Amino acid sequence: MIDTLLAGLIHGNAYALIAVGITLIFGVTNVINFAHGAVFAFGSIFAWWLIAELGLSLWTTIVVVVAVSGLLGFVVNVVAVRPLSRGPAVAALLATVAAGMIIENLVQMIFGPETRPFPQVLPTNNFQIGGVRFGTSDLVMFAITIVVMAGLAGFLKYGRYGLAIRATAQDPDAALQMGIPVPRVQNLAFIIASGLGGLAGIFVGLYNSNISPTSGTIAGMSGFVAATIGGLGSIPGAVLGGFVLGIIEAVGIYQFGDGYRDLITFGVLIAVLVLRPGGLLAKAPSISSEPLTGTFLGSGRQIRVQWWQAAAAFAVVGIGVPLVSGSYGLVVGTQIIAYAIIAVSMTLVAGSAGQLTIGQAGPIAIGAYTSAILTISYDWPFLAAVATAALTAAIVSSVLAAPVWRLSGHYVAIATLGIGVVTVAIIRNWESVTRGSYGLFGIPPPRIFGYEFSTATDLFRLDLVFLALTVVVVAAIQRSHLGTVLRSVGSDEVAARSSGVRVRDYKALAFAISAIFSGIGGALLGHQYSYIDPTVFNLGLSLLVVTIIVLGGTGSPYGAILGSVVLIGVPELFRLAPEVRILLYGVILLLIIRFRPQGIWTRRDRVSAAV
Amino acid sequence: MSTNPAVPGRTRRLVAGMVASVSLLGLTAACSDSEAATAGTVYFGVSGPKTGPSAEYGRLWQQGFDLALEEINQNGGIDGRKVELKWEDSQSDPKQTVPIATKFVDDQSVIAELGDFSSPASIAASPVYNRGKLVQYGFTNSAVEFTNGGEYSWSPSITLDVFQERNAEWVSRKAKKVSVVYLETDWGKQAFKYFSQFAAEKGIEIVYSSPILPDSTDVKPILIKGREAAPEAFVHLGYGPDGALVVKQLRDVGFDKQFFGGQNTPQFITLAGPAAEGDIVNGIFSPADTDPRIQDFVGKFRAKFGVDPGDFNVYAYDALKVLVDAANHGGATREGVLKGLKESEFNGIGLGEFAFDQQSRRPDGVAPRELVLQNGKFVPTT
Repeated sequence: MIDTLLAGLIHGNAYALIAVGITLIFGVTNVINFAHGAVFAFGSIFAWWLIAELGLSLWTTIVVVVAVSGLLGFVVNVVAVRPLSRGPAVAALLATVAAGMIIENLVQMIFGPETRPFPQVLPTNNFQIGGVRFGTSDLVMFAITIVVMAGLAGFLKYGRYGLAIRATAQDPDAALQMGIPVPRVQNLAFIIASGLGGLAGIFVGLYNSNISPTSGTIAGMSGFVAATIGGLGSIPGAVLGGFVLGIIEAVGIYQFGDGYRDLITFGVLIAVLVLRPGGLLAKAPSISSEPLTGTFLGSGRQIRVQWWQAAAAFAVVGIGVPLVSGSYGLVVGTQIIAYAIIAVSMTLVAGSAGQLTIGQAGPIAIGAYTSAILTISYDWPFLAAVATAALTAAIVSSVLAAPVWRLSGHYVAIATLGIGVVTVAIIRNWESVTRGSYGLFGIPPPRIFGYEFSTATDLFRLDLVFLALTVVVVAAIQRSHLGTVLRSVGSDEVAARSSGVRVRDYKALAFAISAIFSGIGGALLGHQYSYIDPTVFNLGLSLLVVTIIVLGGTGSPYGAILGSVVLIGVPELFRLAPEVRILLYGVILLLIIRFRPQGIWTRRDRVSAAV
Repeated sequence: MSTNPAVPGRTRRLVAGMVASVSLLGLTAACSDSEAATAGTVYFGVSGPKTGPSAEYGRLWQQGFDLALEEINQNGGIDGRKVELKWEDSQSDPKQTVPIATKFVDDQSVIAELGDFSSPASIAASPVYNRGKLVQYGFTNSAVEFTNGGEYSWSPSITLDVFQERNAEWVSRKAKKVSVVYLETDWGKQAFKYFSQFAAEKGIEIVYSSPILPDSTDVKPILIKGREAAPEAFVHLGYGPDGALVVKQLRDVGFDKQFFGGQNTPQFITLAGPAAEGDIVNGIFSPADTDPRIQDFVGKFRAKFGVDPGDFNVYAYDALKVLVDAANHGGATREGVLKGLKESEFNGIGLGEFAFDQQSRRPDGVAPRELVLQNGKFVPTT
């Protein structure tokens, strides 16, 4: 047991160092920086290059890496985060996702994609306690963590700029009025945090001993979980959270095996959010935080569409696209439609009720698996299987998400992210039913009353009908009394509650409705692919559907369809240039978010929104 | 915004949006050309990872393909026609292999497809290739069910049951009690299933086992538990990077006995360093092999890339040569490749002389060899 605790402590140290940077940026700019993992990975690889290829000493390398990573953070802030500070918070969040994607791919292109050994600049296994060896590198990393924590905490408490940072974190507008140069302070926070991210890259690289350009995703997520456990915005909290997470993971993995790692990590995250929403060391977030998807002072209105215009458009697409497009275009088109079904229904949660959920992969996976299992193993008819899939997705997701709705702002997003991961981890581990990592093969094509939809054209048209139904239902809800109530929750939660609206129940209801359609979308995807496994439903999928609705303009079903066309279609277009495909995708994404943070399917308000 | 009184702004926008989306679809469709395939360059489609977590394997493939292409085109290609590849980046993601498959099937200039890297990514696309009657040559797909996809799904890869029978045999000569860690993927789980089955037959007791998630960076907790079960050897079933991670951390938690695992790639050797010395793996190829044909290949590879070739270079090199041989036998058409695969005999760097079994669409009677890591090189044990 001592061995396991020690292993957990050392690993937790790595988490702590990453978490500090994330928590600092969150504290100052109120943005969850998804690019932090990519900066961390850049730090690792860049340090490898400096030491192994250029032959610099460790200490020179540390100086260079911290400086360049800090510069990188500065660029991320100036290009991706800062211009969106007046936009909805989710726009900045997605901009950091795009920035992270760009950094990661650039690093891959410049330094190569392979995993490589980190040079042993410090001994990594020269000490032993019990049965576990560790090295000078681990001790240095520990010392750095403590120094960084104490230094930052002291700087924030006593330093002149530290005071400015705290003031900016508390109320950017008031800080600006008091003469604090807020943009400069936010730049500073990004530079410090990213410099630390690069530093973490060096020492965690030494600790992991093997590094790769793609290691940032998992490191960033774990650091983010650690920061949330400790309390977002609290520097000592991030360090504590890192050690707590490291130890709980080590003990849990020792007990149950590594196959449960993500279940343990994100299970702990959800437990903390439910029991102590603000994390271990921070105050509970106040309810008055603005709605995350920003319908309140959004500077755009969605463009209205008449029913006959929509009907005509659907008819044109249904008849026209199969005429002009080959089967490749139809396959892509069918995927676009399946994602559109999911995205359209999410406009109820994100647009109307103002709640950002980053765990839609959960209900999508439940829908896909339910329908696949029922049709493969029990020979259910397609329509019955899809209907059951929709209901199962709604019920299971609603039960899992039930504790989330008393949270607000970013915490809803974080908690749903955790629930999405946990749902898929359960599916993976429930092997007797889902076949786990083996995946499900041979999902039959849809068959309705004896007619099999196996050609690309048939599938395209079938999915288009499902999309039309989804749009009809969602648009009707938005026009109805229920839609008005949901919008009141999203626009001003306090006012809604004062008027007697049970906001938690309505948020849960909106989520349940969206889960129904996400289940249908997942089922359709499964029947199209004919194969699914748990890795299909990853965090990337959740982020993709969120990006789709943000791109379309959170509240608009038609915008969601357009977003799906762009985000599923564009990467396929870029197949012409495979080497830079994902990079270009990231750039386009960043540009769209940067210049249309309110989405494509909106227009500017004639009366500018007064603050 | 300029206004045209005849058309309300929103209608114009709607129409513009619809036109944009339809033309986007049209454009994606237009990428596939359908030239008749009787003259000019002969194309093979490659569906494989160029970016994403498996990009390293795509890079290794590319080296193998490049060398093979150079030799093939120097020797006159297929009936004097030049051979080229059309590479599509799939990230080895089952979501992306299906559209890629559709694209290749639509593209009449492609006479056969190579890949994908992982079995799930390949299996997801199998229905498309089989409906489109385009040979899908999954040359790294050792999952047994891959070739069940249909008569157009072929693989030269030794299946997992054969690999693990040999593996268990070699383990049984060194240890009777083992701890096992395996990758939490369809491949790793299937490998573990077969290993357990053959271990039981050969009298090996598995005293501890745990999966490893592919993105784990710290597996010490399970290695500590595995060590505490007092095994005589540790077995790892997975790929190179995770194998290196396991063996290094295994030494860090104080296990110094025999290790079986990792992968026969230069990358594994570099990553694992001295911790893996004495490691025993399943391989098809060793650059230390004295066979003159293999030495000739190793020499050419080294001259071109400056490193020793590993299994994945050899897989790719052999795969392209096999398909070209098949096309030379049956004709440079889709049906010609199928005919060639059914009727020809092949001679690869990795597998030696072989022919395909008509039922399983896998090579007949080939087996991996036991390689041991000595002084930083995998060498045959016999």
